[in-house]
Amino acid sequence: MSSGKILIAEDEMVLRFLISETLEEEGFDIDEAEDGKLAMDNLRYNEYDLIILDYMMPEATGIEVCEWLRAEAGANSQKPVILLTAKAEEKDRQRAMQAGVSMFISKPFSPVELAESVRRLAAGGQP
Amino acid sequence: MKRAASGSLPRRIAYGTMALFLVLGVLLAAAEFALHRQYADVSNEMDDAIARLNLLQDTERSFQESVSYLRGYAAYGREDLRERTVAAHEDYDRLFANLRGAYDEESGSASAVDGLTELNGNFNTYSTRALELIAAGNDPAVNELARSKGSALVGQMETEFAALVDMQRSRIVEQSERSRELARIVLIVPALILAAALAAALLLIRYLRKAFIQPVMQAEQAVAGIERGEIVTLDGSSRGDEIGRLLGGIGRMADGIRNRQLELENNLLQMEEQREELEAQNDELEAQNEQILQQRSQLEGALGRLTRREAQLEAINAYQRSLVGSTELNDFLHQAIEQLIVVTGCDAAMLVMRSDRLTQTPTTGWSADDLRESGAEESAAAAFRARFGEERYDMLYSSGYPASSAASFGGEPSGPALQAIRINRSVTRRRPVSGAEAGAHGAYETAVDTYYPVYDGDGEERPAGFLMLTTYGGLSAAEGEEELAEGMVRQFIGALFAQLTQAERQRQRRELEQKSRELEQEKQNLRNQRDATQKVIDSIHEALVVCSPDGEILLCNRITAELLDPALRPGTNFIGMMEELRGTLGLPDDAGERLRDALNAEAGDLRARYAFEPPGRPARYFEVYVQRIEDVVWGSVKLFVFRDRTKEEETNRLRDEFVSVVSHELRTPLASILGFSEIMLNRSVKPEKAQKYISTIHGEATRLSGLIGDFLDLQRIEAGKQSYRMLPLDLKPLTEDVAAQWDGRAGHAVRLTLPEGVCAVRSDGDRLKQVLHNLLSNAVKYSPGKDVVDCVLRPEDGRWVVEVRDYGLGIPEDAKPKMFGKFYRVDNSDRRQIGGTGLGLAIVKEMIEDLGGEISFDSVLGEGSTFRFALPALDLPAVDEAVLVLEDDASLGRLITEAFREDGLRTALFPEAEAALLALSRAPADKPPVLCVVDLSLAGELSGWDFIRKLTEEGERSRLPIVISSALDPPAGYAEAEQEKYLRKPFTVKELLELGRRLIERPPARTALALAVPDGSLARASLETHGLDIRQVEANSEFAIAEIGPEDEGGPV
Repeated sequence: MSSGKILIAEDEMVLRFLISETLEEEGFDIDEAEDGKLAMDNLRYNEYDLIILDYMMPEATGIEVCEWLRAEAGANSQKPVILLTAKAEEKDRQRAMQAGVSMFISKPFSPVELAESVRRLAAGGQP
Repeated sequence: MKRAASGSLPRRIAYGTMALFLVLGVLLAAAEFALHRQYADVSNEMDDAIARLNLLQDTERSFQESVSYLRGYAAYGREDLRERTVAAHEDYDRLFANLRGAYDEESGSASAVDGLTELNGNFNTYSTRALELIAAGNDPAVNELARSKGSALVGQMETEFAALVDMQRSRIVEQSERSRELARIVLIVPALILAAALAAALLLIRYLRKAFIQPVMQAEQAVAGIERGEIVTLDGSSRGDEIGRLLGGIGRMADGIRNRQLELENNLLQMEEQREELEAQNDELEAQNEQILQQRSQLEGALGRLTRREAQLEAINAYQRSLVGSTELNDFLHQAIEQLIVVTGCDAAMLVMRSDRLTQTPTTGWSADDLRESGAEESAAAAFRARFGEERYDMLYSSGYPASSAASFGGEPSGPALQAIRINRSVTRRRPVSGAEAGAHGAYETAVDTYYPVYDGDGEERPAGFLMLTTYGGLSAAEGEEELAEGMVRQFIGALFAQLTQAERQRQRRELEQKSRELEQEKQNLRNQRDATQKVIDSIHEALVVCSPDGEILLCNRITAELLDPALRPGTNFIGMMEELRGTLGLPDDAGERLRDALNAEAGDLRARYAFEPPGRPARYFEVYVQRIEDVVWGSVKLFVFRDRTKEEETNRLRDEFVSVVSHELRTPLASILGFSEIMLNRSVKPEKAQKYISTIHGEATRLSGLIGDFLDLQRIEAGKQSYRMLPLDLKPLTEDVAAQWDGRAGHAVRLTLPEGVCAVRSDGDRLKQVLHNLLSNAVKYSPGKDVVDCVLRPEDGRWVVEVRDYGLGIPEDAKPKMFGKFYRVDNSDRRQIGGTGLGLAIVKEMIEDLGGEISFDSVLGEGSTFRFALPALDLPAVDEAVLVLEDDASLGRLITEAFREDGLRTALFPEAEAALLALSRAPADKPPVLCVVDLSLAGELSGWDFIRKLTEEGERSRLPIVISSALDPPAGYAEAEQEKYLRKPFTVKELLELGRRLIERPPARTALALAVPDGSLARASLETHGLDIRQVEANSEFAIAEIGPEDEGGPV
């Protein structure tokens, strides 16, 4: 009785751990990727209900992954994407919107709210 | 002249006269002699008579006296009367004898006293008899005697005496009668003789008159007649004597004279005639002579005039030459005025000119008549001032006046000078010579000044000054000379103006030259300024381009070519060129348009930023200012300033990146901490999960703390506020310690390679640890997947080098120069996941350099990197069998070591316990120091007590004798007796030496402490306070020795 399948692309192991802990509790199946490239690999072969991308990752940024995802027109191309950003990356929000990011979540974030948002988006709701 | 037979006439006359007077003289003498004899006789007789009379009278008186005394004696019988009687009688006898003698001398009268003599004899007898009787007192006999004889006798005698006196008197009268007669005769005789002489003289005169005086007078009359020229006839033939001959001679002479006179008169007549003739001739000659003289003086005058004229002409010539011969005004004045003085014959000259003569132009519309009209001198002066203001006149030249009077001129002309100027004619004034002038021009009393007005050349418009000529001596110039002088002065004035004009011209030329030089200088200055400005402009790092409104480049600086393009040169069109260069420079498409807009914009200032992104080259960033400049030369132009802000942009980019990184780095742990704590707050978490969460939170908090620490470190270092505690330390344990902390982390083993012994450096241990942590952290971080990191400590050229080598990613070449830059991280996907602030190496570099070390690295991309730092090795003195002296006071330390060295001991001086401990740990175990002299307060962190404690903890090494050189403070709470206080003083060097020697010679069984405390309990209290185990305390009057150390360690010897 899975709530859905989620990909977490985040280079920081602690944050991956935090998010997965939070969402597993909510009943989601979690896949983890350490960088943009691995995320794309996962996206290529798996279908997810929601994708969480960190903005700043090695190999490819969250936005790049998102752009790729939207352009690739695979199974995941229309799935909601949450971009995790630090304050400094706010200026790139415009670009992120263009790239098709569904929602921004600034670090530090509240796991409760994150879970809330993920639940809503994964259920096909609006951000 | 014939000679008379009986001698000459004068002789005869003399003889005659002499004979006559001789006879008369003889007669007179004979008469006188006779008379004199007579008179002498009479006189003698009279004298004798008088003397005899006197004697007679005396005798009589004596007799009477004698009789009187006798009678007195007889009457009174007094003895004294008897004596007097006897004395008087004796006197009488004596006088009588004299009288007798006197009469005896006179033969004729001797008999006159005979009677008296007889009577006298009687009297003597009577007297004697009477005396005897009286003496016998026979008064009756006396009376009888007196009556019988005495009275009669006395009477007889008195009568006799009287008779004698009368006789004598009659004789005297007789003789005086005779003398009176003689006197009469004496008077008569000379009278007779005188009469005879008179008669003789009369006779003589008669004779002489008849014989001589008359013929002489005759002759005299004849001579006078001859003198008068009369005809005198004298006949001397009547007399044959001299007179006759004389007269005859005179008569003959008179004849001769008469004849001669006649002759002369004839001659005279002749001569008169001749003279008249001569006089006539003379008159004629004189007339001729006068004529000649006149002609001559005329000729001389003419010649003189000619000479003067010539001299004058010569002088004038010289003068005129002098007027034109000079170029300089002063030379001109000197020569011309001196010559003028010569030419005009005056003695002194002075030229006074208006001060502004050379600069002021004549006032137009004014003539000298204006001045001439004004009447009195004061009003003229006033008018002068009114006309020309308070102008000053200065003496230009003066010659011949004494300096004092020459110097006195100044101001305005007045008096005759003003008058001369006013009437524009020369004015002559006669004045007495002043004192100073009299000194210079001797004898003259008056001087004649002639003032010549000097007017500006052009139509006498304006007085320019005056010339004064002075002649001393009051002689006016000769007629015609004045005109000459006037002429000369006119010439002079003319020449003066010519000279002034020339001087003016010269001055102007000089001024022009000066101005030209100034201009040249100015030009040079401008050129220099322009060069300087150009240099300034060229040295500016911004490209400056000045454009005309149509875009033509008027000016651009050197940097323009570098920064933009060398094609941009003055003369080219800026906008056009920029559009052409758009491709090469990588300008935005609209650049040309925007520049044109800026050029045409009315608004003054514009600024914009451009990114030049030429293909294939790194982008450059510019800020462009456009400024309107209003310039006199260029008019309204535009200044374009291109400021290269590429570096700024790069820094900004780095900072932005840094902020991004920092933000990311900070937010990640924060997100974890907040996230897990929120989960734990909101959900019920299983204990094992909770444990994991909390340890994650702790780890992330630690990470956050480290990050913050890094930022703060960097901030501190950048602000220069990082302080370092430099202490001697051993690098080996430090490296071991840090390496041990990284050993096994992230799967990396740290492989340590260390040298033998102590690696002493003077450094800050904490900072070194930080550095080492950073390096090891990087090594581990950037060698993901590797399992080993090398850490090597090795000596190299007096330094200790710590090397950390990894076998990881390595550093790309282009990143190498930026490795130690702040905020720098190699941007590489491999490294994305590697946390870091980009500050670590910057901090490391700053610290190592602050600590006097050096940091470097080698790296091969893909093979790994080696970072190393080197620190100068600390040189520690050897303590083997030496006296170890711990003393932070360098001079005291030297003193102590010197003392022990002189005692033949090796010494090692340390200012810090840390260094001493390092040295001790280096010393071989079999050769420990023989003695430690420890000061309790030291330079390092450790105190003397710390040092002692560390020694005691070291087992074998603890058996060291230690002398505490400083004074001890009593432990807190120790009740120190008052008398103990003075005891708390440090050992002297000498005491140290003695005590030290003693401890070396007899080493104690355990660590023995010698303290400068002469009291066991105090020493014990002190040591216990400092945490030492005390076994035993011995104290004497000077020090205490305590044995310390763990009980089981100290073995008996």
